[in-house]
Amino acid sequence: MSTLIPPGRLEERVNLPHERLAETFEIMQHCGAGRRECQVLWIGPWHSPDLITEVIHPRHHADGHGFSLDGGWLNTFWIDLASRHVGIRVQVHSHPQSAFHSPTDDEFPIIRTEGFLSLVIPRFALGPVSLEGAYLAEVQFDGSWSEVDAGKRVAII
Amino acid sequence: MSTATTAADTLTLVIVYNGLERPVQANTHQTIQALLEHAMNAFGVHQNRHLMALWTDSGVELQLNQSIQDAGLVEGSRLLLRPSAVRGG
Repeated sequence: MSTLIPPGRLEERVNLPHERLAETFEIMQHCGAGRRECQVLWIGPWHSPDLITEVIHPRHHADGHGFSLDGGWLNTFWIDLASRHVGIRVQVHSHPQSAFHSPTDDEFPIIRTEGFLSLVIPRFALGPVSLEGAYLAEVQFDGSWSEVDAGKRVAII
Repeated sequence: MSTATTAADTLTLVIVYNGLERPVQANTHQTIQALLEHAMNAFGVHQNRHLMALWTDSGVELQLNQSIQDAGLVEGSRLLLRPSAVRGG
């Protein structure tokens, strides 16, 4: 409890093991089946906030145009994060076609503090396992979203 | 009946947000709305604050117009600060 604001700074880079990116695509392909959007959460330990160590697949409802997380699952997940001293660094979801941040994405993120990242994967994640064509947005100091360069901010390791 | 705040009226609650825990001082006569504002300030949540809510460990959403006392909160109670809805599209 040493800092006032959660770790996460503007322009901070996150390191993502390739295996976690491949896992992300596999989950989205299986869950979405080329017909539905899907969300996963990239989490990591707060003692090393630049490192992604796990991919979480939330309980959610989805169709071809959007998704909604289960509230009961969120409560359990919130407690689990605290008990393990880990936090969400990036929310990731798939889109049917091109990747962008929709008004719904802007309005209803899971986290809305400075430096939080939101990644959108195109074509229901049916393409190659890469960030090509992906859209990355970041929460600014005033809580607004700005597009940032996915290639510069997410380092595949 | 006196409405003055006494030491016995104050308590420390623990707010959980994105895997982090922060202590927040509160008064038993404060509303949950006031507590929610303190909690969001502690974690730097500045936008869409109307979409945030406080939940108990057991998954009950606290009503904003309730007092902390009426909500049954006691010293050390742990509360979850999270959005009421998470969506995308």
